[in-house]
Amino acid sequence: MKLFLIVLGLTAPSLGEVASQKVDTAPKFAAPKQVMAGAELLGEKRAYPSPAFHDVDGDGHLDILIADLMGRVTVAHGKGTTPMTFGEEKPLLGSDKEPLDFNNW
Amino acid sequence: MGSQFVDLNADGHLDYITATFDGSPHVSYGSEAGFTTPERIKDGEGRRILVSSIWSDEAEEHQDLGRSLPDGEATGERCISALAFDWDDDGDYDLLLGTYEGGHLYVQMNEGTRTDPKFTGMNIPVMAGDVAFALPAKMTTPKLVDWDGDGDMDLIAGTYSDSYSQEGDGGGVYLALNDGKVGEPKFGALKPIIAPVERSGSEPTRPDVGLYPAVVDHDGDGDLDLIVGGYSMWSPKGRELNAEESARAETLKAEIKALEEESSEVFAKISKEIEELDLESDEFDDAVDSIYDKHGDALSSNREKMSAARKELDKLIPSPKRTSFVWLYERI
Repeated sequence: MKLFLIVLGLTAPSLGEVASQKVDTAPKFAAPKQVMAGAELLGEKRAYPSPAFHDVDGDGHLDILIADLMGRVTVAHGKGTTPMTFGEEKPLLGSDKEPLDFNNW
Repeated sequence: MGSQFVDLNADGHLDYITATFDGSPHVSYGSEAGFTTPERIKDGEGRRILVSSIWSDEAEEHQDLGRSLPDGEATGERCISALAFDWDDDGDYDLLLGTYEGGHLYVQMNEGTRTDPKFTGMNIPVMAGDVAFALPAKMTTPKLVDWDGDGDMDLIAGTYSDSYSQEGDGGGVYLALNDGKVGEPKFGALKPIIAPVERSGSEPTRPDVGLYPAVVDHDGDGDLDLIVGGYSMWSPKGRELNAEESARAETLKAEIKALEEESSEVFAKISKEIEELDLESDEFDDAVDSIYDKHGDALSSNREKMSAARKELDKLIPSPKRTSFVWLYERI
């Protein structure tokens, strides 16, 4: 799992930690598709939605987090499917059970 | 606001690292009970980490400070992204700090340890090839990822472009491969992997501006896909109007124009009245509030009428749209 997370850039390892596996560096992508969170469009109408992946609930599946310009964060839990699918987008709660809120100005 | 999850303080819980438009990196430490209240990451002397411009909560103003830049000259750049990265492979995390305005990237070294970090407070420009790392249209956030699978961390980063214009090229996503070695990263020139394209179209088909990237193997095929947040901008096609509808549209346009002019006149009055106040007076702020209160009803009424007229006109002649979404770019 650690190597998997390192390869995805989800952790910040020392440079010696990662196994070597050459891949194509000039990628081609299919036409972009909107990502869903349950039945809704993920990140719709958020101020500069910024995605990241983290297993928030520790169930072994990556969840997608959306941070925004205002410093607020939501999470859509990964369902463990391939390709990835996500549940409803909800505020990410902190240890005080309040929505996590980073200080903007 | 980018996001990275690393165990910054080596307590066995992943912490949430980010930076905001206040100009400094923040951390929300992970714990058994979840993420703790976010706080700013401080340098070894207990000062805010920054690139140049910050919002001061105490002074309630932006402050432009050169203390962390190599030549001591303030540049006005705000640090709006941060990543933990063991740059020198000494076992503790250093910080990468990205700026909005110049799209620059700096590294700030940690002279302490994993459990007792002491960031130096001094930023060192990160190079991309032979030049300083700089993105062409303001940086959203960088991400560390082993893109080429050679065992070291490469950098990808997105750009904003002009956030409101309906014309011109949008933002992109760029890659700088790491051709260095352990403890001595050496990033190559930035190359677009999602090239900026001219914003256009009658429906949302891609993120046009403010491209925030993340990397994941979305479809489990063994290669890395991109997930990109951003604003899409498009101009919906209008339908053909009959004579009555065309006439109504013209009337609404004229109403909106008149309302805009009325608003401008009210704002001009407000400006004039504020100019006549004594700036040095202790009552200045209260007097400004009072001026806005006096004209508040007029502005509010005008705003409501304008909103209603625009909504009706939009049904006849759709206006350009700007809405944020998150997109999958599947690698093929």
